[in-house]
Amino acid sequence: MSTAVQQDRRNLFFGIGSALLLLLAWFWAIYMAPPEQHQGEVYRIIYLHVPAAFTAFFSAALLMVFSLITLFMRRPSAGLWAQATAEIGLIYTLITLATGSIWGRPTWGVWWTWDARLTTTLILALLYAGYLIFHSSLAPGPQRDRIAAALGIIIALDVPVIYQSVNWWRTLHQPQSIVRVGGSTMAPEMLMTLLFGFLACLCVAGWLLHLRFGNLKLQQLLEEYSYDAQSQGE
Amino acid sequence: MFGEGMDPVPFISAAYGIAAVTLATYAVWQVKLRQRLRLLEQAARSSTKRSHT
Repeated sequence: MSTAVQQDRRNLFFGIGSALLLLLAWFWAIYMAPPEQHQGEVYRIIYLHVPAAFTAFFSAALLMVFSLITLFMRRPSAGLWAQATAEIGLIYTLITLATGSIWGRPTWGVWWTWDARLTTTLILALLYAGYLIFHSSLAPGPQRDRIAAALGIIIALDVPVIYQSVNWWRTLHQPQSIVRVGGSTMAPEMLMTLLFGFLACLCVAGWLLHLRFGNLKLQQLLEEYSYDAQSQGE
Repeated sequence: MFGEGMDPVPFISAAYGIAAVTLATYAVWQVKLRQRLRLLEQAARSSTKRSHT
């Protein structure tokens, strides 16, 4: 069996493992975690919504790291990693927005409101989408990589604004209760469920990121083959 | 609080369902893309070898 096939098989096993971990985390969240005192059962959406949001923010931080590597160290693979990270970041931001909207309906009475936290998260999704549209619309080369890297850094700058939005503006969104000065206000059994959900979310994101990067690299390799074949034909 | 007495099950299942479908669709797309790219890579390698010989 070739090394590539073995590598793909290993990658797939890791993917199945991550998916099982995520299913276990969701099972724990839906059936085993205690209901919340005020919100009751619908609070269980937090175990999906918050890990997805943290993964989207983590992706933005990672995108900034790859963008800085592209700008200052000029590693060609960093651009591919950045593109893959932006895709994963967009997926998790969309999940955050969708689950937040579904959670908002029974708790706030609305599917959407132009609240600071929601609006800044929507901006993050639009920035990720803009980055990907921009990336796919320009010809590959160092100029595209540099501009994309600058855009990647701007995307990451939105994350502290999202995080602080509940402090800077009057919002409908609840204030920070997990990562805050003075410790979390959550009950330990709820916090454990949340942390496990975050770990599972990160594992799935890591697998998807690795898979996407591999595909982008293969696509690039095939383009090089195609250029070689064309230049030999001329 | 608004929504007291509302059935939470449709909201919980919609939230988890959307996340599951989104992640599964992207994962399946990428795995299938990998299979197609490996086939193309194999074909490109063999055609390059042939053109060199």
